[in-house]
Amino acid sequence: MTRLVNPAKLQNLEKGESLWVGAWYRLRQNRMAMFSAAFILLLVMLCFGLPLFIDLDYKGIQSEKYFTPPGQEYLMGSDHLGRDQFARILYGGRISLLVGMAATLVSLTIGISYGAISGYFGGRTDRVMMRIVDVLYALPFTMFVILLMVLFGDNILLMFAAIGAVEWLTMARIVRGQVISLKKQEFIESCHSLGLRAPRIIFRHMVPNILGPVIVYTTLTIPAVMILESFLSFLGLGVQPPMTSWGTLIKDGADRTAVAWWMLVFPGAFFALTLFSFNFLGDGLRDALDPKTTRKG
Amino acid sequence: MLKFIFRRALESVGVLLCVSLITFYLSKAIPGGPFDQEKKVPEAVKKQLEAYFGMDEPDWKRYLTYTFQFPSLPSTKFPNRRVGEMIASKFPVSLELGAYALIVALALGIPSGILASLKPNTALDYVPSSLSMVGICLPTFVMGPLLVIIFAVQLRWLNATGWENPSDKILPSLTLGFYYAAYVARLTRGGMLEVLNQDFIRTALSKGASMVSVIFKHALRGGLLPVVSFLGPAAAGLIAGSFVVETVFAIPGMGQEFVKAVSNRDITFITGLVLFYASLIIFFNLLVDIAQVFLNPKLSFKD
Repeated sequence: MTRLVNPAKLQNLEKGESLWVGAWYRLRQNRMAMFSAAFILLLVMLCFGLPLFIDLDYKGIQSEKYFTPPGQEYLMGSDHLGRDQFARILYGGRISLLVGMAATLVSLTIGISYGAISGYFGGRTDRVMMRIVDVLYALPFTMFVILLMVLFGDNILLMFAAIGAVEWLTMARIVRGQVISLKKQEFIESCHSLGLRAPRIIFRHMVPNILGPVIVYTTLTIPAVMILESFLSFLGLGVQPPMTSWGTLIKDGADRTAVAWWMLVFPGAFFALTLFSFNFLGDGLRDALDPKTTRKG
Repeated sequence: MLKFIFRRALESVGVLLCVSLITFYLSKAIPGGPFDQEKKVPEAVKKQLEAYFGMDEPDWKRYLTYTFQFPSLPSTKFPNRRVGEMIASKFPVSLELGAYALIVALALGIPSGILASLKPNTALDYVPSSLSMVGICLPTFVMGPLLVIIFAVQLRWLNATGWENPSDKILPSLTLGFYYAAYVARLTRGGMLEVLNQDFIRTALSKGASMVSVIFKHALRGGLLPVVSFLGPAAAGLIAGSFVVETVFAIPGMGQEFVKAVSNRDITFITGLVLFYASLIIFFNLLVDIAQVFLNPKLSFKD
């Protein structure tokens, strides 16, 4: 993965290209990251596109065909109620991916605004706001998510919000650190001298400049959220039937390990591969966007 | 040093108070009460029950009893049992599981992390590093059932459920520990790489000290710092993980108890349990912070 001479750097010396061009070049060099990105793209197309073209029945119960092993009839076998496992994995993937992305979006919005405001104003505001983050960090996180889930009932949209609302802490810390280091730079000073107001400076001039670390952390938040969603579904608190998510499918499989291995292995494999891809993509993006902190060795 | 410990301890108490307030209001906001049943309970009976559990008192008074006397309160679902007793009967199992998992995590994670850092980007690095990636991407609820299929269903070496014989405890501890071993290995690798590239290591090596003694005497102290700071969040995570592992392996621990309590709306037990775990986590974080200062004295001067 690493090379002795980084061609992107040489190019930069000659022409001074923008960070993004160099980053794109470095990312393309990273085969694992590109493979992961391709996998994620393919998965999204499968989950959201395929059911539009092929008639996939994910909730039709055919009780006489229960526990059919993978084969001609069912690509990935059927479950205890004779439902098509492949269709259920795709529909479950929809929910898992949607929850992952929507909750990440919520946590991004809260985290960026909170961190940027705290870092920009500094002083007492900063101290109070960061204290609050410390308090929230100390909460027995899982228990609170469970309480929140019960509080919001089985509304999936609110579930996004609840998960997002507890996942923003690290993002706020990252953004705050970046904003503090940007604050002293000259272009921000010139914004002040032009008489721009704080909101405009923060969201127009600072936030675009911290996108790098934010993007990296986003690709790492999505799998974290997906794990959390599956965890809740696994405990029976998440998505309710006939809807399904990867967590529910894994739970169904885990309860029947003795009779139907395919009910655990296929959803588990989809889930693990997705997490794998997001993590590799995140690592690759970090290396690509931040050449200084590229992992040593 | 003492001043630092004192200040951190004081902060922890403050944080704990905030947590208790949040817990109180959150559990109050949950729809439905512990006395709601399928059949409608007569108003007078409900009133009396609520009076018995002190639920008709003003908020501040309820908050004070729920927070400071929770171990002696009766459970709202099982009135003849006290919250403290219920925690005391179930918690040792979860603690044992967590402790084994932590041992597995450190015993697997640290050596493989050190190995990986010695020869970066060789097979010695790739094998533990990709294994730990697998560990991170196979959450406990996939890992556990998979291990059950392999070792309990196919090979029939170990039991799939229960928590009595030593052989029952192997699979759950491995399941929970492996996930954290993966993180520990990654952090150890990163920390060691950072330290091994520094001048004082080169100096020690050029004096003729052996690689083994350099690693154990000089590098580990700095290289393990990220692992130590990870132990705080890991303790919190072990609790969450134990929820899942207890479900998978049918272990009678705290996690199942909590989920049941939430669906039963057992208010006194919920608040008691959250507070208990919160104080545990906060105390553990405090210990971790102090340990970090011991390992790296520069930290205590930095506010």
